[in-house]
Amino acid sequence: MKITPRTLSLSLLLLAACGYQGDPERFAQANTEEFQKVADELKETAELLRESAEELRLAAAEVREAARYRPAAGELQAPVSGDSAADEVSLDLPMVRYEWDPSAGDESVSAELGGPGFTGEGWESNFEFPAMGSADAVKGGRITMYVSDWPANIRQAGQDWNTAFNYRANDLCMSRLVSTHPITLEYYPVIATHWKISEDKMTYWYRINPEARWSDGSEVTAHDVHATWKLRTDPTLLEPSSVVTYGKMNEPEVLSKYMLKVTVNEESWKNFLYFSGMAILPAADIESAGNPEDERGKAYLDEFNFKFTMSCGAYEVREEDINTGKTISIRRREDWWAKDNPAFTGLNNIDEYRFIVVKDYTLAYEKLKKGEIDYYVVPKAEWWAKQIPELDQVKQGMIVPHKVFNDSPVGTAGMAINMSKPGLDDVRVRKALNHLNNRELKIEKLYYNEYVPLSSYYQGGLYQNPENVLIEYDVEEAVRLLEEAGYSEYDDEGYRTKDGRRLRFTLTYRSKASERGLTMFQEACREAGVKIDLQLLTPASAWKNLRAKEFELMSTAWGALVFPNPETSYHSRYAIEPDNNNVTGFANARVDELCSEYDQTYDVNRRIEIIREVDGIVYNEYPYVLDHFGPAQRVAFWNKFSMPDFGALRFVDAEELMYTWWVDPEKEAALEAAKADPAMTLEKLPIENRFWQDWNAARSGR
Amino acid sequence: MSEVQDSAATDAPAEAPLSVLQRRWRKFKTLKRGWYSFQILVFLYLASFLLPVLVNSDALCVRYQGEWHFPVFGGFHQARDFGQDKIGQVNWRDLQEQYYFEGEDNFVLLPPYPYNPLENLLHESNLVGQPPHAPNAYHILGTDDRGRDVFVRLVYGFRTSITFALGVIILSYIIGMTIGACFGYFSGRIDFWGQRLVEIWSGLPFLYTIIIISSIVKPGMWLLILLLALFRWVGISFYMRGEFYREKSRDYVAAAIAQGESHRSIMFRHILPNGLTPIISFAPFAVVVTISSLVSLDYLGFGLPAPTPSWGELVNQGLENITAWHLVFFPLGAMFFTLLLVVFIGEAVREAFDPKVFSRLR
Amino acid sequence: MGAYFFRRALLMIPTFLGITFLVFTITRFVPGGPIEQMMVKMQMAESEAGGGSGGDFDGAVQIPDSVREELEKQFGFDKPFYLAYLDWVSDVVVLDLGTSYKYRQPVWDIVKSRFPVSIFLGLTGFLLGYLICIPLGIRKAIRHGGVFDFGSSVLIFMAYSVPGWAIGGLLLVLLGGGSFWDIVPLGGFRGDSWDELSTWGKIKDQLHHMILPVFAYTIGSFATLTILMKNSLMENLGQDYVRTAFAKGLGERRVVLVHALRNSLIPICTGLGHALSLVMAGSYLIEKVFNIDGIGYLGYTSIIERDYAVVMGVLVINVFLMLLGNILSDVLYVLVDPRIRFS
Repeated sequence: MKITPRTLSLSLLLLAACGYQGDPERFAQANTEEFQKVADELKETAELLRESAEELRLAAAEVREAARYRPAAGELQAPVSGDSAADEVSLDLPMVRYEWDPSAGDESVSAELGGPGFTGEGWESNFEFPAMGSADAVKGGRITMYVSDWPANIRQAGQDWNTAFNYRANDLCMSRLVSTHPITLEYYPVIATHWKISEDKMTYWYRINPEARWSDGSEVTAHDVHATWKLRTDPTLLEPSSVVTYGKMNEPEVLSKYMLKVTVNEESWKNFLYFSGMAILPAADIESAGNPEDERGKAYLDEFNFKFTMSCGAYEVREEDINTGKTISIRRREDWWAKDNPAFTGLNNIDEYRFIVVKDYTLAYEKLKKGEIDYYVVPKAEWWAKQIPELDQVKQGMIVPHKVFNDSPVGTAGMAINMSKPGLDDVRVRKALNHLNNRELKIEKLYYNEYVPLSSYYQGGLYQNPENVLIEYDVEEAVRLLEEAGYSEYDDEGYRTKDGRRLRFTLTYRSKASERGLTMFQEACREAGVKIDLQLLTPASAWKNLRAKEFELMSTAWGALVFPNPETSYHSRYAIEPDNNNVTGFANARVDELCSEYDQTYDVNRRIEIIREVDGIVYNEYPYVLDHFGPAQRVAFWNKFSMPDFGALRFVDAEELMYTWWVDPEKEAALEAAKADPAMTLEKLPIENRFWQDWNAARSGR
Repeated sequence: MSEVQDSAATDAPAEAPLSVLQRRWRKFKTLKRGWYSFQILVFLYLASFLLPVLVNSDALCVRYQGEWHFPVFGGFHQARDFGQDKIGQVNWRDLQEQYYFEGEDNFVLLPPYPYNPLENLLHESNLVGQPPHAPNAYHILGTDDRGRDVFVRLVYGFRTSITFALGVIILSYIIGMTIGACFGYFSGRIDFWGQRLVEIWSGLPFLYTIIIISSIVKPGMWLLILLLALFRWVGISFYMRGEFYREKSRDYVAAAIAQGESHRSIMFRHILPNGLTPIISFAPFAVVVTISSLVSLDYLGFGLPAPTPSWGELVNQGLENITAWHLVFFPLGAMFFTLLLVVFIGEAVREAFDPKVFSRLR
Repeated sequence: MGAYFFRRALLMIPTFLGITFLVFTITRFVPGGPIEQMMVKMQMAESEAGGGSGGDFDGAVQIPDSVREELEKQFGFDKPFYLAYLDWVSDVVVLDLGTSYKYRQPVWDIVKSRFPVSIFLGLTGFLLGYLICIPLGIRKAIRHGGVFDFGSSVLIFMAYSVPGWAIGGLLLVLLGGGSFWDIVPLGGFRGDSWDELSTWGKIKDQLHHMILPVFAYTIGSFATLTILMKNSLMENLGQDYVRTAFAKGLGERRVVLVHALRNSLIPICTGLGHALSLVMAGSYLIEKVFNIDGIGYLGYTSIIERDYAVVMGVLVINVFLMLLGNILSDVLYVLVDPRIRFS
C-alpha cells in the first residue's frame, strides 16, 4: 500500500483512537456523572415508592367500602362474578357427592357379584369430596388453542400417541375406573363405584357402575377393561412403556358383567394407581371384525389412526371436526352418562376445545393478539414482562395476562452431570460447577426476574426438602473447591490442570433457545479456569447420548410427576447400564433403601418424608447443575372466561388450567362491544391467583 | 540516410506487449464503481485480520511496576499478578481505571474498541436494564440478546463470512472447473459416463447430508467449507462443460492442436481464459449464495458452533426480537452492504474480461 | 442426436438406482436410524409423560425385546439392506412409495396433499420470475450504466442479500394484523371456510393468503435471472452481427428485440427444462414462518424425525424430475442453438 495522505490520515486516526479510548480522565468523569445520575434516579424512585404505598393504603380502604364498581357515564356495567368481590376469597372448598344407583346391576348375578342391590359392604370408596369446579358454571362456548404440529394420529394408546393434542383428548374424552382427586389426591370413583384391595395388596377388585355407557349406548363392562388391558400389553402396539407398566399385572379376570378382579406380580401401591388410572377403550372397537388376536395392537394402530374410538367420557372427537392439517376439535357430548352426577359439578363446561396448527410460536403470539387464538401459554419472560403489558388489548382489558400459583410439580432443569467421567466424579468439582452458574444474573437480565433458582430435585409442593441450601453464584468458592480437588496448576491458556490433564468438559445441548444461558455459564467457567466446549445436537441425538451415558454435561429438563418415582432416576442398579433414566450414574446405598421402602408405603405422609430424605441426599451430591423454574403457570387469554375462586386445579400445568373454566356469555358480549369501541375498558382479572398458596398456608397453620 | 533510417528504426519504443491479464487488470481499474468497491472490500478484509489489535478486550501493552507486558499477543494473565482483586483473567478495562485512580506509574493501553466478541457485558454500568440494549456511546450498535456487543460480533462475523465464502468458492471452482473442463474437452465416453456419476452425486439431497453429518461429527469451519464446496462444484462444472463444448469447435483450438500442444496446455492456457466469462459473472452470486447458506445453516443450528460470532446468529436473534431494531437493521444492513460491494466488483470484472471493447447502445 | 437422447433416457434408470441406493444405504447404516429414533422417541415420551389425574407412568427402563422385534418387522429392518432395497425398488416400480412411519399413511397421499401449495408457489414464482426478469434484464442491458441500471441493481441485490424467510417473517408481523397493520391474513394457505366461498371468492382468498409467501419465496431469485438476461444480452450486443445490423440501417428496437434477443435467450431457455421440478417447489423456512403445509416443510421434518419412508419418497420424486429436467434442458439447448451437437 502506498503512503498516500489517505493511508497516513487513517493510521493517525487509529492511533488517536487508541489514545482517546485509553484516557482515564474521561473514564473517571464519565463514571462520576453516571454515579450522580443513578443516585438521582434512586432518590426519585424512593419518592415514587413512598407515594405509591400511600395510594395503595387509600385504595385498599376504598375497595373495602365500595362493594361494586361504580359505572361512569357511558361505560358498561362490567359484570362481576359472584357477590364476594369485596370480601376475601373463602378458602373453604364446597363438597359434592358422587351419586350412584344401588338398584342397578346385572340381573343374572347376585348382589355381591355386581347384581342389583349391591351394598358395597367390605369395599372401599369415596363418595364425598371437594368440588372440582364451581357451581356457577354454565355450559357452552368455545375455546381456541394451538398445537405446533398436526398430530400424527388421534389414538390414545400405541406408537407415538403422546402428542400435545392427544394428551388433551386423554384428559377430556377418556374415563378410568378410579381416579385420583385433583385436590386431595385421594382416590374417587369414575367408572368403578367401589374397589377392594386384598390384605396382601396383590389383588384388586372393581365394581363397575352399571349406568356407564359408550357413545353408541352400549354398556361399559368388565369385558371392556379386559380388552383394554390385553391391547395395552400387546407388543404389536409398539408402546413399550405400556407393555412394561401393565405387564406388572396379570390378565384381569371378568367375574361378572360389572365386576373385575386383577392380580399383580409385585407389591407396590403404584400398581393400583396405574391400573385404576388406565383409560378404558371399548372392546367392540378393539375387537372389530377379523383381527387375529395376536395382532390386535397393529390392527388398532391401523384402523384408529385417525378415527376416534367410542367415548364414555364427557367429550369426543368427531370426524366432521377433523380438518386435516389445519384444525381439530374436541366436542362436549350431550349424552354423557354422568352428566347429571353432582360429583362433576363445574367440570366439562366448554362446548368445544378447538385446536389450530401453528408451526411457529412467534406466529402463535401474533395470532393471540389478533384474536385467532383465545388461550396462549406465554413462553418468554420478556414477552410477559415487557411486551404484554404494553399491548392495547391488555390495557383495554380484552386480553388478560394471568398467573396461577399452584402445586404443579416443577421438575428438574439444568445440566446433567455424568458422574462416571474423569473429573466429574469428584463432588467438589460438581459443586464448583454449580457455584459457577450465575442464575441470579440470568434471572435478572435475561428473564426479567420472572423465575426462581432451583434448590431441590422435587421442587414445588409436598416433596421438597426444606433443608436444602441454595447454591449461589460464587467464583471464589468455586475456585477454592477446585483447588481443593487438586486443580491448582494452570496451563498456558489459563485453564486449570491436574496431573497434566486439562479441566475441560463438553456441554451438549439440544435447542438454540437455551444457548444464551449456556454461553454465560461458559464464560463464568473460563474465569475460574474450566474449559467448556459447547455442542449442539438434534433433540433425538442428544437424548440418545443421554440415555447411553455418552456425554459429560448435558443441558436437559425433566417433567415431574404428581406421584414421584425416585427409583428410575436414582437407584444404583441403573447407575452403570445404559438406556435408563439414571443418566447421571447416581448410586447411594441409603437412597436404594428408601426406594424399596417407598414402593411399599401406602401412607401418603410417610411417602412424603421418604422423598424429602431422598431429595436431601441427592441434592448434596450435585448430580446436576441446577437452573431455575417458573413458580407459576403463566398464560394470556381473551376476557370471555370465568373461573372458580381457585382458578385452576391444584396440580395442573399451564396447558390444563381451563378444565374448570366456562365461557361467560356476559363477558363474551362485553368483549365484542369492547372490540368495536376502543375507548371502552373491561374489568380486568387480578393478574395473580395465589389461592393454592394461601390454602396450603392455612392448612399447615402458618 | 541509412543512419537516419536506422536511428528511426531503433529509436522506436521497445515495449513488451502487455499480457492478457494485465490488460484486463488495467481495464478493471478504469471502472470506477467496481474498482473502488474492490479496494474497499480488500481493505476491509485485510483490516479484519488486524481485529485482534483493533477490536479486542486484551490490552495492547501494559506497564506494571516497571515491567512491560503485551497481552494482545496472547498468554494468560492472572488478575492478582497485576494488582487486580479478581479471580482468573485480568479485566483490562477495569484495570486501566484502577491504575488511573491509584495514580502510580502504571498504565494500560487498550485497543480503540475494547470489547471482545465472546464476553457478556451485563455487568457494565453503562448498560441498564435487560439485553438486548439499544446503541449507546460505548456500544455503538448495541448489544445482542445476552449482552454481547453487536459491533464486535458483526466485524468478527464479517471476517468469518468472507473467509468461509472464499474458501467455498475457491475449492468448488477448482474442483468444478477441472472436472467440467475435462468433460467438455475430452467429451465422448469420458463425458458420457462422467456426467452420469455427476448426476448421481448431484441427486444427493443437500440438507439431508448436512443433517446426517452434523449428527455424527461436530461441525467446524473447515468441515463446513468442504461440505458446501462438495455440493456447489456441480453447477460450475456444468457451465465449464458447456463453454468447453462451444470453444472446442473454434479455430484457435484447431490451430493449437495442429501445433502439437499438450491437452493440459490447450485446456488451461487457451480455452479456459475464454470460457471464464460465465464463471466470473457467476462468482458474485456464488459469494452471496454461500454467505446466505451460512446464515440459513446457522439459523437452523447446523452451522458454526456457538459461541462463534456469525451473521446468521445475529439475523436469528433479530427475528426473535423484532422490537430490538438494532438487531434487525444492522446485521441485515451489513449483509446488504457487503453483497452490494461484491456485486459491483463482479460487474466490473465481467466488463473487464470481455475481449471486445464494450459497446453500449447509446 | 435422437440416438443420443434415447440413450440418455435409458440411462436415467441406472442413475436413478444409483442415487436411491446411495441414500437408502446411508439411511440404514448411519447411527440414529429409524429404529433407534423410534425407540428414542418412545423413551422420551415415557419419561415426560405426566399430568392427568392418575395413570402416570414411570420411565420404563428397557425396551422389551418383543417390541423391538415388532418394530424391526414393521419397518423392514429384519432383512439385510440389499434385500430391503430390492423390496423398496420393486414397490417403487409399481408406483408404491411405501407408508410413512409417522403418519401410517401412504407416502404418495401425503405428498399429493401438499401439491396445491408447491405447485402454486412454484408456478407463480416461475411465471413472476420470467415475466419480470426478462424485460427488466433487457432494459438494464440497453441502459447499461445509467441511473435505472444502477437503481434497479441496488434494489435487486437488496432483495437477494436478505434471506426470503427473514423478510417474510418481518412483513408478516408488520402487516398480518397482530401487532401493526392488518393487511394480509396471519399465515396459512387458504382461509378456514375456503370451501364455502364462491369461485371468485376462492381466488381472492387464495391470492390474499399467498401474496407474502410468494413474495418471500421469489424475492431472491429475481437477481440471478435478471443479471443472466442482462449479461447474455450485453454479450450479444457486443457481437459483430449487431454492429452489422445497425450498419444496415435497422432500428434499435428491431435489432435488439428481434436479432440479439433470440440469441441471448439461449441460456435462459435451458433453464426451462427444469420447470417440471416446480411441482415439488417449497422452502422449509418460508413454510414454517407462514404456517403452510408444503413439501419443503414435509421434507425437512421427515429428515429430522427420520421418517425415512417419506424421505425416500420425496427423494424419488425429486430425482426423477431432476433427471428428466436435465434431459429436457439438453434437448432445448440443442433445439435452440444449432452450434451445439452432442455425439
